Amino acid sequence: MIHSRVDATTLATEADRVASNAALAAGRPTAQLLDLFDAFAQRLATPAFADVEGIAFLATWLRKKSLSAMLDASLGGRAGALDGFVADGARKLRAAPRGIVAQWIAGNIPTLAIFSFVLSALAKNVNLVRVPKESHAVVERMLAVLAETKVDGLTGAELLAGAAFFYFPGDDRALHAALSLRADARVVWGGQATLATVLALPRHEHVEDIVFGPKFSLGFVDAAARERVAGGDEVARSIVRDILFVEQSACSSPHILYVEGDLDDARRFGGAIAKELAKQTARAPKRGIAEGTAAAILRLRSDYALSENKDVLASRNVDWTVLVDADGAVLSEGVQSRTIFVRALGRDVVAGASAVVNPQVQTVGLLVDDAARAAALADLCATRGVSRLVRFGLMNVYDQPWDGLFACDRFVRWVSWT
Amino acid sequence: MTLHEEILGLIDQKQFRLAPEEKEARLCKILGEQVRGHVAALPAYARLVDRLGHGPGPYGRLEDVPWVHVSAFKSHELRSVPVDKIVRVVTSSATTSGTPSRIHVDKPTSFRQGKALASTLQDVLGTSRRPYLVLDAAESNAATASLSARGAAIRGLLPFASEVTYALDVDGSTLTPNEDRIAAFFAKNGARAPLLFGFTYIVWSVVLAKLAGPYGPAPDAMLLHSGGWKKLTEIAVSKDTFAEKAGRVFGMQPSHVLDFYGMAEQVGVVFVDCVAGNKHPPDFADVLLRDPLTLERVKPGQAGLIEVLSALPESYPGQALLTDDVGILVGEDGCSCGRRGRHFRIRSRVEKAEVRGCGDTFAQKRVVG
Repeated sequence: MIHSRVDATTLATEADRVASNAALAAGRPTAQLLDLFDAFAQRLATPAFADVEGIAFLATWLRKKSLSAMLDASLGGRAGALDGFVADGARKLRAAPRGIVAQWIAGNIPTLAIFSFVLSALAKNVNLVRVPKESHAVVERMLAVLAETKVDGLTGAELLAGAAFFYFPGDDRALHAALSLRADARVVWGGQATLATVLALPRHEHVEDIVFGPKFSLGFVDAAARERVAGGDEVARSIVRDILFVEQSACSSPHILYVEGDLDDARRFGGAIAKELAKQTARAPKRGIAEGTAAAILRLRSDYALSENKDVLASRNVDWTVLVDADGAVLSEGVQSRTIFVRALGRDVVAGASAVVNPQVQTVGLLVDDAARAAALADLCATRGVSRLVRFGLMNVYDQPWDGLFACDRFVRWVSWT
Repeated sequence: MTLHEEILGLIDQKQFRLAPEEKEARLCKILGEQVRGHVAALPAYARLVDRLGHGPGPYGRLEDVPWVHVSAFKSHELRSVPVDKIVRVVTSSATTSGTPSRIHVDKPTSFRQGKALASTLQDVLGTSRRPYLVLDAAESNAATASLSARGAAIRGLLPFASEVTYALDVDGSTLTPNEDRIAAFFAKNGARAPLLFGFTYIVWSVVLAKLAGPYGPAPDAMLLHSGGWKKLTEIAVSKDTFAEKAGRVFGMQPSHVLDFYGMAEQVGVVFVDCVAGNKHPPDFADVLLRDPLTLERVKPGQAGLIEVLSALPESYPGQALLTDDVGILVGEDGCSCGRRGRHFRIRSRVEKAEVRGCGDTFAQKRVVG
């Protein structure tokens, strides 16, 4: 199902095969696709996939009701335009597929290839998907299930005839270029290196680029909410769930929690987070860690433990680490791997936030009890480039818009007919 | 017996003969007392012991002794004695981070460091003094209150020297080999089992890369070198390549080229390759290889983060220093060279996590393109 090491000839053959299915894919009714993905969702929500991180959310997201709502929101209430021209005042509009979508998938989220493929397939595109090695096992299992899924008038195998999933090494520029030159649209999920590689590739002039680049996420907590958490409020559970997901490797993973107040306030808040981290980590201990990440954590632990104006709460091993400081409105590089900075921000969380939010901040977890200040903070974040504002527990929920755009809208070409 | 006398006892005895269990028990006792001394004298260290959950001891296992990451010496002034007791500040080379470590050394610590280095190297070099060719410039060992790690290492070998020659000249920041001086050294001393020492990267890039040789022959010469392997790894120079090149240039046996592992933060503690190619901690020190995930000791054959334990420091809390280096534990005892106790090999610096996702960004703004 996944070509684990595609070469130039195989890539060309696969691209030809996928292209030959483009007309068929373009004519497929949206209702059939929604039914197929709904059936696929039911087959994923089984114990066989219980080991896949994020599977519960993916299975819910794939349900017909969820995807229908997402299409409607993404296409401005004109999801019908996917199947033909629809009236728009005096004219008609059609959401036509772009054609061949080449996708570079990142390796931090095992299910990402499926999310990205489904969005593009719903827009009736055919797809060439480069899947990172780390995700092969999970994606392979899911594709096998999708291939066997059947609904009236459509099978998963038929849908997958318009898709190819493969891998080639990141430094193989010739294959990157070959993939790019087959694309009508390019989707890139990844970090700096991947972006720099793909965006520098040759491409046709009409190609649409949909880029989900490197981002960083954080949270803001006002004084009232801080006290609730320190007092044992169960929102700590939601915060920790956001921290634990995929070892904080997602762009939506929080790395710093800015807390209104001083060091002692942050320390009490951090204590509650540490307690919850210990509890949830006991149920889901870390399975492995890169040496470099472990070393970075241990360096920080040592530094914070020695410092008078800092504090550290940590497991005996490297399972989790809470680094408490009063550094105020400054950013720190995310460490990942269940390591969270709890940073006292002074008296005014809104004023402090203005110094740290920037377009690289993707998601902000908001825990601000005062509605007026929450609104002010949300407005500030929106105008400074932040893409999502969510309550804790939802930071890693893949919704639309994402990174400031409705992906499905970018997967179609809007055609007007007057 | 005082603690100082107990430590000197470990230093003065013939090294590498202690049974592992006895060594661990004796070190745990000494290190525990030293930790309690630092806790009383140094609030920052007391915070660390408390916050990281080590507690003040006593410690039954070496892994329970509170560790400090070596990088802390770059950002904190870790000094357990009044400033007027400090006789020297040793600074690291700062090749990786750009910020040097600063290690405050008092008289008792300095005394132990010198004796300890001599005691360890006696096992390798014997007791006879040798003509000593320093593959560095004399300026690296200038007599000031501040001493670089290079200077400390050069100085540490002086007790083995019958005469000292510096092989390099320095012009500004540029080191160049003085070929006439080197040729004269080998002409006079080639047959007298000379001792050569230099920092690995300097020996390679300034000496071996520029000198064709061959000098010598010096069949009983011994070349010790240390530090800077990261740079050599980057330019793909292996240990064997290094030894063979040194053998050709100096007319010596490649098997007499010995790498030793040590650090500015632990002057006096060196791990020299044995004939089996393994490194052994001396009796007054030890090494732990910690699993990066569990932080427990690894099993033989496994790789772990290197932590160096030492009974030498009195003026700074260097009893247990965790590093960014990775070693492979060869065995807990029974090396074929005959030395007792744990033996290991250096693998590399820690491998950085592979950047692979949309969440790899720094917090700072970066420019793509």
